Amino acid sequence: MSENKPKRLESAKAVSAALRQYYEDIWAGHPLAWSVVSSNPLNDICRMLGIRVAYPENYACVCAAQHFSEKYCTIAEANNYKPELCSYIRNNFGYLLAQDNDHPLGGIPKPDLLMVVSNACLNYLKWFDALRLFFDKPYVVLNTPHRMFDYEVPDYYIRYVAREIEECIGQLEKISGNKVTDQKLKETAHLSREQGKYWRELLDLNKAVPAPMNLSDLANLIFVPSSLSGTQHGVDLLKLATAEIKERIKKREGAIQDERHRLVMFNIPPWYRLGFVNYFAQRGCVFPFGDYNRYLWYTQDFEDTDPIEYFAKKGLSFGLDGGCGSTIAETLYGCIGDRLARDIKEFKIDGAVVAINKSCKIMSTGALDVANLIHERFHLPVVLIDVDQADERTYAEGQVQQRLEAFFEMLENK
Amino acid sequence: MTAMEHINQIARDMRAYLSEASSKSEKKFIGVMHPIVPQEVLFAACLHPVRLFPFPGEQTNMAHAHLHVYTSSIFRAIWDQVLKGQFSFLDGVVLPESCETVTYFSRGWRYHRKNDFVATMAGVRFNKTKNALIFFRDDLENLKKELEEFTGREIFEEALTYAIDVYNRNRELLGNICNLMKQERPPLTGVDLFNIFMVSHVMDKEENNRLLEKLLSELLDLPAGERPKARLLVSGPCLVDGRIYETIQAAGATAVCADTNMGLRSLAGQSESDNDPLLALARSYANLPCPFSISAEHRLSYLLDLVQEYAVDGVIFAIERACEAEIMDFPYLERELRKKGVPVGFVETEYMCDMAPVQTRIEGFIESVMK
Ligand code: SF4
Ligand code: SF4
Repeated sequence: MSENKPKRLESAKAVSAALRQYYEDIWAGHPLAWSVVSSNPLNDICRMLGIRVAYPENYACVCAAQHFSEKYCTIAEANNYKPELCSYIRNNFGYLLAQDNDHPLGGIPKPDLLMVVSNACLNYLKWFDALRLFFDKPYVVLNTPHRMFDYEVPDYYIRYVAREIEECIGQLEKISGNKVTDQKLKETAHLSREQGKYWRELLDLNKAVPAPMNLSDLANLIFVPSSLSGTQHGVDLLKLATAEIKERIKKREGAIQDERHRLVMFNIPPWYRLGFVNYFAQRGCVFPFGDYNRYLWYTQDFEDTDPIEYFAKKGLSFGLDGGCGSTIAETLYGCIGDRLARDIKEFKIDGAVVAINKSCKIMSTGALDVANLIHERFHLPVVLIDVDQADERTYAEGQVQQRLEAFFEMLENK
Repeated sequence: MTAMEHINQIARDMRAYLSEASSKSEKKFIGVMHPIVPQEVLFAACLHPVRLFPFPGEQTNMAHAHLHVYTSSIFRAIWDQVLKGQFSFLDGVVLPESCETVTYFSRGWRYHRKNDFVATMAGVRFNKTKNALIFFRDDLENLKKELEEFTGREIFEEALTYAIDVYNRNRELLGNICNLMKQERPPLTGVDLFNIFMVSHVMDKEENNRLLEKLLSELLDLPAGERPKARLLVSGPCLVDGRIYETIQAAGATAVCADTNMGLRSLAGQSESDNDPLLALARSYANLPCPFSISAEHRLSYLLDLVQEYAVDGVIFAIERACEAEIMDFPYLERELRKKGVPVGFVETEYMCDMAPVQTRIEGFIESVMK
């Protein structure tokens, strides 16, 4: 087994600093919204109105990485939040119900409003509804219906979401006491679009051999499009990362030293095992992409001349390429067609790690079919593992390692 | 045979009933998941909509290849039975944006069953704004078009209006039967009520209306039933397992009403007449008291109304293990109901689960309520 230590990106330091700064800034004033990260236009709009935004979902990842989720999930369960609920939600309620003040990064301040978009999972709405009742604060909901058919999203979807965004803007203006100007709206939509361009470019750059970024780099960078969307700072950070990656490619510098296998990962990584990717790196395996980053945020480019329409499409575009208004799970079935074949070929993938995530049905529905397909149609080794993205108690280290050892053997004998 | 005997006979073997009914009918049978789908549109398309639920007593095994164990056991059982050919009388399905499992597997259904007609439908959740209603109406128009393409015939406005009348009548009749359960000595058991609803979900609606009319007239002649030791409200999602109601009955209590996807939630779509029948449907179906459609706060007031109307002694939540929308609402509903002095019990259910622990909990709850 080689050392094969992953090389950290210089730009990652800037991203980490931005993350720390972000968690400091959310304490700096009111009003503060709690929101969801997924392709959420309301977050961009809040920034125009001087409303700060905190993400319990992101914070759950931080808690998991710092091994606090076990404590929080246990507290939540003792308060009737059943173990079958997504661990981000249990983490969040456990955090709120904890009796002590020992929290990662000092915690997140209480919200003045709750704000949600329904494009990722259906749990979002229920979770934030429960938070609204917990805090008794205003609730701004943007319903973005899930597109479950194959054809292009019909106009009436876009019309509906655009009108709903206007309603939400009215509510947010009232709460903040500020106004959204046309100029600001245009600028923010444009910055949001620019970020998308850099993000897609970054993802595509990872087709290079050796891959300049590993899954952990992408997981780190994803903080930018998910949390700093619509800001110049976000654009600058992605620009910086893109320049560094291009440099790496020029020098044929890989994310790991001795790249022998290129894998794709399906599902959310277990945030409490940050060494998960390194374990693969030690076997010469790199992950040039995962469905979590490649197929979710900013997969499509939309015209931004009409900013409200841009934001409507953004809200409807969580997932699939070739049309907006989809879900990740659709992407799993959607990507089963040409999309996956193309990515496997272009990223020179030679194996797949498919995780079944107890918490996230949306990410896990279709995963078994994807695993079968990769094995049968592309004749690539596949390993199925059980993880939960934040609830460490469910992780069976021994069992996962056993499966991975067998998988590494298959890769070597291929 | 009395109407109730007829209903119980059908309920004993729904699959046999459906197979026979479809072989005799000229209509195509379409499976519909959840009460939020306006079946009127299908009925107007000369189709026979049937609510989808798994037939009892089968081992789920084939479905595990496509649906992992954390998905809804109810839907996994349906999919399993589809793969085993037990729904061969169906020509397609309508799978709405609803719970996680159903919503996200709709594409999976298409992927595996290329010849099935699979329609989907978006949900209008939480914000019931004017825009939302227009969107819902447009989405029903979309569903209508898909059905027209599938059947090869146009759905006329008169057909829609007629379908709305038939379905309104069905809800009215079922509502009248439910009202009888408000009596101190209900003429029916909770098991009977469950069977009445389940049969209404599979039978042709016009035929069902005739049967329910007969049932209602027969019930008027019946002597009052026994006074139950405890009157319970059962709340939960796709509660398709009659054993829960049997257990309650065996313990001397009666489930006088069921706030479930198979029960009262199916009655909430009573449509007011409108020049635009699709808008009328959108208006009524947008407010169904399903957890994926409305806030826990609204569910609470709905439940409190039921507690009053049916004079219940306690609410028992019987929730499918993987049904996240339901379990998300539970902590709030439990806390608030208790605050109002309503005893609350909880049982976790799965398709064909072991009834021993469920039975112990139900019996324990009934005892505590009776004290
Ligand atoms: S269920 Fe999945 S998409 Fe939803 S909050 Fe949990 S991890 Fe995120
Ligand atoms: S029980 Fe819940 S999760 Fe299962 S099919 Fe019904 S609504 Fe969906």
